[in-house]
Amino acid sequence: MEKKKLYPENSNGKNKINRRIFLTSIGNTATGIVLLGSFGVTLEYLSPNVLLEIPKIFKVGPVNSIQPNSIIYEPEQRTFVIRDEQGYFYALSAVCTHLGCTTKWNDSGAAGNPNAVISCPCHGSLFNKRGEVIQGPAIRALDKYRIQLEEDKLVINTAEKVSEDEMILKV
Amino acid sequence: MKILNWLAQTKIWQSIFRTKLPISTNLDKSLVIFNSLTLHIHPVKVRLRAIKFSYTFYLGMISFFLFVLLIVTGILLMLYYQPAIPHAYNNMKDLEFVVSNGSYLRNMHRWSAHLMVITVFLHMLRVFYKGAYKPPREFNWIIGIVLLIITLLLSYTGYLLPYDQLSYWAVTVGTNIVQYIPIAGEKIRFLLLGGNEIGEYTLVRFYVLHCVILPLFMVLLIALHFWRIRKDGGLS
Amino acid sequence: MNLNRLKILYAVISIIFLLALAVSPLKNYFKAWRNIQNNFNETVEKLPQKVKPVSIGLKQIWVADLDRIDRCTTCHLGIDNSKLESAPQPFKPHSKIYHDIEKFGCTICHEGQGLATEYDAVHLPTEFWDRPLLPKKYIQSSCGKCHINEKLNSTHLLNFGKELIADLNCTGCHNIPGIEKNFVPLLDGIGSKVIDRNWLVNWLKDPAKIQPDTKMPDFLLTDSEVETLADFLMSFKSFRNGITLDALPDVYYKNKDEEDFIMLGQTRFREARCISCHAIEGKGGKLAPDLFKTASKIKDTWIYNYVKNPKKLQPEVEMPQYGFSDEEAAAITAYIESEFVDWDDEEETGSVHTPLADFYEKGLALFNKYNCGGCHQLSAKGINQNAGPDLSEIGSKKIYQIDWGKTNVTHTVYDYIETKVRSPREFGGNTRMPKYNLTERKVEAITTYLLSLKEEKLPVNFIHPADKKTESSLQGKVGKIFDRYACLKCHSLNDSGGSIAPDLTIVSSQLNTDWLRAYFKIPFTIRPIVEERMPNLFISNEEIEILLNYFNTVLLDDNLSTPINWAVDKKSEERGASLFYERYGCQSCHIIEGKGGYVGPPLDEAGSRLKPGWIYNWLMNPQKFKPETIEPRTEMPEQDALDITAFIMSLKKTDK
Repeated sequence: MEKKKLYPENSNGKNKINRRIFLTSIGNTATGIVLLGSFGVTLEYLSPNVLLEIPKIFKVGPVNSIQPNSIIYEPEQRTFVIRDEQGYFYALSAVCTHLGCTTKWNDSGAAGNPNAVISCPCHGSLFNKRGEVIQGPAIRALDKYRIQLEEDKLVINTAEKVSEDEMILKV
Repeated sequence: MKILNWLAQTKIWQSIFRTKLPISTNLDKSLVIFNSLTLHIHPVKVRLRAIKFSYTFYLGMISFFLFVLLIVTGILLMLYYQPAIPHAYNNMKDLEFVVSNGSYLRNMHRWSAHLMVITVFLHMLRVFYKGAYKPPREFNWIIGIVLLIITLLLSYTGYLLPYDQLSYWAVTVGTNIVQYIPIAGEKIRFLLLGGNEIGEYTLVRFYVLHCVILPLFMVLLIALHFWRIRKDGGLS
Repeated sequence: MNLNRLKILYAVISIIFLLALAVSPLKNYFKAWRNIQNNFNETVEKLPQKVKPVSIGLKQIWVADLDRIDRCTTCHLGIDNSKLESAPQPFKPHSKIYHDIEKFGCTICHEGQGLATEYDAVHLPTEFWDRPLLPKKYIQSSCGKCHINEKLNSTHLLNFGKELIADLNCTGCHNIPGIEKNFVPLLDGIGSKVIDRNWLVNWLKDPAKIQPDTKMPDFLLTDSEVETLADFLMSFKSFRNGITLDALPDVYYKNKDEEDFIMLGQTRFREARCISCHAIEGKGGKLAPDLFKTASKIKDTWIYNYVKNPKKLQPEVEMPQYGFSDEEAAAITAYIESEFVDWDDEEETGSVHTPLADFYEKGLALFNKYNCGGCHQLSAKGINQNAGPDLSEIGSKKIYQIDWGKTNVTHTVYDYIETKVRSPREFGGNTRMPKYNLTERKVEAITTYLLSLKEEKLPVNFIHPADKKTESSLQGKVGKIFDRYACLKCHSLNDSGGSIAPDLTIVSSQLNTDWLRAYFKIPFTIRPIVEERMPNLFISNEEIEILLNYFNTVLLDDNLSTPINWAVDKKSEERGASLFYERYGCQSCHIIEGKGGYVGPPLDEAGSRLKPGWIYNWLMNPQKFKPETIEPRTEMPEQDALDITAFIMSLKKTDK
């Protein structure tokens, strides 16, 4: 092709340059938006809208079938549901606060300590029946979940962690 | 611009791009092309005629672009796909109905695949009618044919993955065609299906072929194809 | 190269890409379910009841056990909220629900594409989903997937469908699990039974024309097929196992036109309550064929032999063998001959029919083609079972496996079954299924049952099979008597047998032996509103004693003995009477001395009929013995029950 067209200098050519710049900028802008947009579309695509996870809320009961001073372990939700001597209920997470292993409940206690009913098999953390740390490496007490009474069943919501004052359900 | 110039002087830039800026002489210009992986697909000097749209219709490049698009969308689709009989079809439904942009990406993958078959074929026709298969390019023509076959195989193996009636019967028919290969036919069919009829193994085999083995060969052959274009004297 | 054109190409392509990219987010934003959820929140705001608005987003029920994911609740937002009764669809709550939605999901019963979130894909038949939403009329078929043979009250259509399939003997040609074959007459000796070949020709042409309630379907045979088949059947003159017919006694020929003799036959016919099972011109029971026009169809010798001993000619028939004497049987024959005649029957033309030379081979071929042998037994060489398709998994039939012929039926399994049941030859000329004259309700019932026969494997803990019936076959003398009088056709024993008459499992703990003895002799009805009555079977005294002995030793429940602290005295009786009439108001259902309701059995003379232990236990918990009884469980105190028992026991038969 002729060099003239690549570097036109007459007034007609100037228009051509303007049009060329215009077209280029349109193209560049659109391409930019497309690139950014496809990034956004991909990000949106990557976060699932529906999940196949076990429900956060589960039911235990009926209440009268649970003896005082007993525990129920829910392996799927990794939760201890405890009825204490007074007949009150509370729910403790069985997930060790150290590195997330599943703790075990042993009525006779562990490591010679009768109070250490909850023990972690991974690194030997011990907790008492209220979930408080007796021995490290865990430094934080076990999580407590909201527990409520609905008709004659206990409803435990593992999405809702509560403080020590709220954890007890008096029946 | 100043920053760019400064950047071009740094050791890091130069170690990566091996090009000294600013470019002033023709030698510098040719070195830019010569030293770049992506640009040296063309020889240093190209006849203007050869890069005209009406000369090649950019069919090879469009095919390559579609291939890249297929790889990107394909990888994204793999994230929501499980190659197992009870899940495969349900995963399709999930992509269609509940994953954001899922059906968009899936459609893109599908239409790109169709288009790629078409453009690869047109590309071949163009090469044929322009006589571009003649020596010294005869081996590249062969590579091109192999690439076409791999493209078709990719289409075919991808067809089973949704695991619906269409795919099931397409694969049944296809693998029965394979059976007619003399001597080894039965064995090849058995290996392809991972059994005597379509089942869990078949799905996984087709999945691995579609997502790993065939694309790998495709990439290697495309590289060879491009390299030969340059070595055989550029576009013709 | 014109760079301008290249730039234009660049700009245009970029913009095309931009537009193409914009499609997806826009489509996502305008999804119908989003609109519906917003709509829900607006609707809920206007309602007087307080209902929480939902957060916008996809919702689903994941039932891991059944491997199902149902996204129906994305739009059906009020499915478990009774406050939304007045809300418009799709927000209405589910009608009375038997199962926990979280545990079962939706599509396990309703079918449809639970994974989808667009109306058409979810509900309608589409190319990509074989199982569209099940129409409401067939919903009970889904109950039948787990509740196998359970006969729940709420699945009346399903139960009815199963009864119909058994009744119409579909299993003669099709394999349908859990359904027994019915009695169908065997055809040996039919040439000696039927008076006139023309009758057989007319029968084969259209059985319902001769007998409207017949179970024999119309095979839509051509005239030549009918002629050949009639010739073929008429050629079977001898009975099975070399049985020959007893000749009618002389008394028959002497007296058959005498009024007294016919009257005797009529009296026995009435006492035996033949019409409990056999209708006459459509009036009477439906268990056995209508006897109207019988005399124009069957030879008198055959009738006589059959009345005397039905099982001799038809070994599997359920008709009891009455204890008639030869004379009585002959009288009944005479009565039938005089009464049940088709007066419209054309006089025989007298022309002699000569069958074709190869009628036997052709007839046999037709007999096999239409699988007559699937229902009727016939001892002839060369009869093959030529059954129809296996229906044990018909409900899961794949759409592409169905031959739709030239019909324009919607391509769904339920439409296919429904059409096939209604008009069997609809899908092509070479199908051989006969035509049944079914009402729409019957078509629906049969379709519902067939749809419940699914291939899918549900987890064992979901399946509720009814307890397998233990076929109680009684041995020895008692067994023979039970067999002869077909007791278990009406009565049941240990959960097997008929459902027409009361269960006999603990009969001896319920009924007084003396009362039973008298009842065998002259059965009468206890409940005036019940149509079915116990027939007088003319059981001999000896047989009655055997039966009573068996009842008293086996058919009782030791837990039902008279309560220890039950003492009869006037005071207790009086207190019982006042409890009966005032406290519990029993007279609203039970009659005593002509006063009271008609729902329960009258209690006059109940003291002679029932045993006190039974009355007491029944009063304490009627449903324990008869789960479907409507007598309320009043939870009365023990003393009340004892007193009422005393009162009822005082209602003895008095010889007036």
